[in-house]
Amino acid sequence: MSVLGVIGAEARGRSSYVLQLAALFWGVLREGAFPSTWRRTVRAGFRSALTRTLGGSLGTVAVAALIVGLGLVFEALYWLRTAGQEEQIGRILVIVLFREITPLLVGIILLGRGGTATVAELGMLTAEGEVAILRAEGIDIFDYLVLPRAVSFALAAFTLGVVFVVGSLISGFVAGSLAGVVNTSIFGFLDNVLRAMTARDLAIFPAKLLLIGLVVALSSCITGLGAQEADTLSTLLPRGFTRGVTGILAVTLVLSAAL
Amino acid sequence: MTAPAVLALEAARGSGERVPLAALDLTLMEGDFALIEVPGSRRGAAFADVCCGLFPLTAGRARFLGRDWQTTPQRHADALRGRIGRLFHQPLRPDMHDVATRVLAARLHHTRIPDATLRDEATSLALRFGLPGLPAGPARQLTEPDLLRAACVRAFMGQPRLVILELPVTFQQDDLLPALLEVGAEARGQGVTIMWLAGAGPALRDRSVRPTHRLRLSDTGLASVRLPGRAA
Repeated sequence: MSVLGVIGAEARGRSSYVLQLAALFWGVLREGAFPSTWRRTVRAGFRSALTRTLGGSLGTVAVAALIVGLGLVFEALYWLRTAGQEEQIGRILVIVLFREITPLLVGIILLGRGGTATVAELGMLTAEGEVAILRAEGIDIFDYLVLPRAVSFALAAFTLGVVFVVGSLISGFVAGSLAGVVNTSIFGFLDNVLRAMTARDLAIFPAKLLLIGLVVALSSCITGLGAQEADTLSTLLPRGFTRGVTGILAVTLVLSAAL
Repeated sequence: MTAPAVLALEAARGSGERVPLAALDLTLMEGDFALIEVPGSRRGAAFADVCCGLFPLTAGRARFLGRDWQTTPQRHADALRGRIGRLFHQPLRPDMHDVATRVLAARLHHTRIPDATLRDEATSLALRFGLPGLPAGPARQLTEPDLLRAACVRAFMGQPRLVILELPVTFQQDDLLPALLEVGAEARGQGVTIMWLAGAGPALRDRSVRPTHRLRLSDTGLASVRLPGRAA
């Protein structure tokens, strides 16, 4: 091998995960746009992945929303009223809840419920030779296994994010009403929050959630499909979790800085 | 103009420990039946991968229906592989959620034939292989022989141009062999080429199995096998 080849192999080896992530990301954008990619097996995989991802995470998201509603929304209502700064409630909730906490928590729940299951499932398929069999049948692994999961995770993240925000606001408002720190209706409260949103907030909320869902799915697929014979669930799952969390944090950081 | 060979290996040389280093030469036409003795299931699978264009060649060519696997674009190669039925040496996985879906997966992926038509065809094949119908539900509810029968259904679904059977001739389900030979003979009559990769065993020399090619795969490549003369 040439000197350049040796240097290139070393560099590629170290950056292969990031390169794979970028390649799959581009693949999802490119291939996902062609209707011919969405054969009935791919559509069936998408339906199945979306149902499992949403169904598996909805309960956890609802509980997390309740806790955040009590711990964040109610606290904000209470202390801002005490400080006489009630008009700031909308802006504070938009910055903290919409822009930062929701994408982060939904991403981590999605990773824990759907991402780890994907790592385990694809890891087993790879280790047991099923992926090789699918290839031998002429079934494109990207189309059949990766694309449906990537799109369903992205859509699930956005849906769960909306559920999380609504759940948090309502539970916080109800707690505030019961404690007597709110003197407006639920519609007035929601209107106050929505009016505090800028165009950037409206862009960053779906952008973060869709991207986080995509990154969670792709990092889980790369980890699962990259399983070696020596790999077990105890080695694959921590690797998948670490990569997923890193991806979620990176997306949050980059988009927060950019927008 | 003559039709191209269904499968043509022209001094095809693969790399890796499971594939013989010697160059492989083999030409199979429509309706041919090659019975090939392979030294172990893993090497048999590797040889089948060479035939399916899944194994990179260091020299020579492997063609399927006249198309060189090495130069055929990925999408076209996948579509061509959809014309190959294969009984893999690994059984259907017991943790599979739905056997029927897995049996039909390749047909559903590569064609637009309605689901009901595909299910009818699969049911008909399943009955011929001794199953009560197309198995529905998880694979763990089926016995190992029934999983093998379901895998046979998968291999013959959709009138493939080439069927590769990675199956030891000494397998235990005696009633499967006649069914396999019958379905195989019928398929050959419709132009399907069959390649049976079998481990060494007395059944390989069974005169009731009448291949057009009887070969042995070894480190030196593919060689013809002659049956000993009939005892008087």
